[in-house]
Amino acid sequence: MTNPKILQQQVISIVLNAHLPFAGPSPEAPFSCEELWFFEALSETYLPLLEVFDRLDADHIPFRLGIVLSPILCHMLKDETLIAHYLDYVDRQIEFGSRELDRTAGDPALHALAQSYYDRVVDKRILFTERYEGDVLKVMDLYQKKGRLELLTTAASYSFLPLYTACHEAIQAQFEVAIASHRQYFGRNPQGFWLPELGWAPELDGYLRAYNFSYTVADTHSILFEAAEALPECGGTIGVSLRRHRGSFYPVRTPSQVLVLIRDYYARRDLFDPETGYCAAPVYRDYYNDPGYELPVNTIRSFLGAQGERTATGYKYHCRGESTVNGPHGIYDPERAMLQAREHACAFLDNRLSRLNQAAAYMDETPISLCAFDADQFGRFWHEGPVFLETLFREGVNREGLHFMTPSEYLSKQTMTDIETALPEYSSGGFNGYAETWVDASNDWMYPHTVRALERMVELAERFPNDAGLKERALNQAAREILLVQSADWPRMLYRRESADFARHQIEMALRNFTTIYEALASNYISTEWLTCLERRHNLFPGINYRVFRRKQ
Amino acid sequence: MNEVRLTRTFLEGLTTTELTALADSRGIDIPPGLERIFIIAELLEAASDFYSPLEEDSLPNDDSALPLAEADFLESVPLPRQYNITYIDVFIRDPLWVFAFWEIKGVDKEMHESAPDFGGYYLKVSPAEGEGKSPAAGYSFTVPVGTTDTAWYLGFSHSDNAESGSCPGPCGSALLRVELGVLRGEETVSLAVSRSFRLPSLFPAAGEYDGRNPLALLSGLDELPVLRNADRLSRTLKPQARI
Repeated sequence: MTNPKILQQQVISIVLNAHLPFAGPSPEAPFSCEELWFFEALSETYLPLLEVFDRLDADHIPFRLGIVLSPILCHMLKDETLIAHYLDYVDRQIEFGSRELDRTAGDPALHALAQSYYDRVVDKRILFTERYEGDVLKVMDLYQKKGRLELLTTAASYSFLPLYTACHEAIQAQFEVAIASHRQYFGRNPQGFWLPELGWAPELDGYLRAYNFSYTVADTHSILFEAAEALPECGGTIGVSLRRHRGSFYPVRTPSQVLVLIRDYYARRDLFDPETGYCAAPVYRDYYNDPGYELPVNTIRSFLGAQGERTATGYKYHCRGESTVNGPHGIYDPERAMLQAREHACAFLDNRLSRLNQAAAYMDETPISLCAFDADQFGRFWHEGPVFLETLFREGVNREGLHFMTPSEYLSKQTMTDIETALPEYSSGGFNGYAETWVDASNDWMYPHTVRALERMVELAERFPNDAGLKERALNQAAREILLVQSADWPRMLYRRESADFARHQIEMALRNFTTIYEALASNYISTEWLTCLERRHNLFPGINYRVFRRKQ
Repeated sequence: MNEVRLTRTFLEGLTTTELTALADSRGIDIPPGLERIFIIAELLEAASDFYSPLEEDSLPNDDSALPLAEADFLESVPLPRQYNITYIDVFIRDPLWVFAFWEIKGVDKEMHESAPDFGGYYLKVSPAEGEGKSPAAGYSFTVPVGTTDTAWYLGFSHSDNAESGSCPGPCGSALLRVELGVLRGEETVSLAVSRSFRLPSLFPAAGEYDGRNPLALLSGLDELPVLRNADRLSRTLKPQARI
């Protein structure tokens, strides 16, 4: 059965989730290892993406993209100290590059790579400071105003929200601070809310409506495993008609009238499956192979952390190749890699269109492939990712019936009565599809403290409703600390055993800082010096108002 | 020759080649191409097996120690060991596991445990209020917990969560709750009750998704990497509840 009318239109909506764990400006010279994540993402993902947008725009290619800019990332991109540290880092890359040119002079292949990295780093510094005037958000906003991008927000501290639904004020604060942050940077309310880690629980439906979000995105099984009965607290039985479910090819509407787009499972698998995904191709650059981990210490001194730990320089000479026991991977060939990325982009489009065509045969509406990815996969971890994206849009022009749309653009073209009511099932994009990544023997110790601290924060907000001066500063800092504790990044890092020491340290310090303020407010004494130092170090959400934790009547 | 004591800081200063060689010298099998953070993790894990508990006390504890600069910088108070309140909370982990954590107020705990008829604490899972007429009406199980326990993973068997599939199970989509209680002689005394919760579905939504809905299959129904049965070993070290 086919419907020729529908075959004329297929929609791909790409959403990139740009978020990083919070790394406040480090007092340690020259930088902390955690700041490096931010530097890498800025150099390898955010700036290259802006360059892709510039090229597509200059060539009048009709690209459309949804970008989630987490409040934490927005803050870091505007943090003057962090940006100054970034420029210092780029300068050290330039200095290191000049030495690499000498060191690799006898090896033409390595030397050509060193030269290209050196040129690129120099260009990037000029690009960032002059063309973009050090303000990535401003350029993103510009493209939003042009209708090319749609900017979404997410929970203030990227909290895994399903765990906190029992604490109304915790969820309320995550939403209110996120919206305030988005308005501060972009002067408008976002239409879409990105669920951190795609963590969905039915109880979140009411919050999305209450804060006036039009839509969100959930993982594929949230709708395929959807329970037929709604929770009583979510409005009673919804009388859902399962017969018309259209899998991930069409949104659903929750009982609160929030639209939920469903992630295309195969899109993610095609790209990022560790075994079969495109990004695992041997010809692509190896992120983990870096001279910073190999050269003698005296040659990479400017890339050593505060305690002498080695870090990456960004001059990566090897492709992923076939792993061998004794030898390094092959030398990276940028031209071959870029060619491969373009071929993969074409194959990706073919796969999406094939599935959309098959789906259209069973639907009356225009099917969508919602391709949601972490932004830093494109460039930072998958070096060729930006070229892949650029090719998608350029190739898309030649595919009849294909439209790239932002999520809200697609939704605005649908007839609301065509969208079935359904309440997606508790789910996430984490390991095994639920909350295992965030509730595990490696990280569960934090929750008794976190839940109690949240209760105490609500208590403080109620006890001190109209305070000003030093007390208000302390209360605002307490709110920052408790938000920081809730970040989904820390338990995920503990679960994966990646930078687990740092993650544990962040949780413990934020909890201890919060408890210090709580006790100080009880004794009516607080060290101004201590508070000032803490405000500088954990300086996220500078305009926060602790009253977001007050109970709403 | 003295044995080099491995710390994270020391290992992070080594080249990847040196790390691989070190692992090799210690008989640790490192797969080719393994990322350096995992090589370091393997070495640290092996080192923790090697040192005796006495020696471990003298080693820097990378999990808890703060960098010196941070310790000087901050004067924060330590985390409370207890909050001196009685409560029980639950977090849903997946369709098969719920994480329950609790505390019993110190004075009450002392009173119960010093009583001659103290029979221990328990967790009881049962339907929440208003679920009396549901298929889960008679569903409950009780788990004895130790006096020093503060958290448990409560396991729900495969059949408990069959409501959404073709074979209804006892708890299915019912709202459940966990009660923390104490046994005093023949009596049970309730100390705290959790919020109500519903286990996520372990199965596709309904008959439409049992393989006949082409859009569900095109969406990846058969291939989604989600928890599908109870056979998978949990990473948790805590025991599963007996039902």
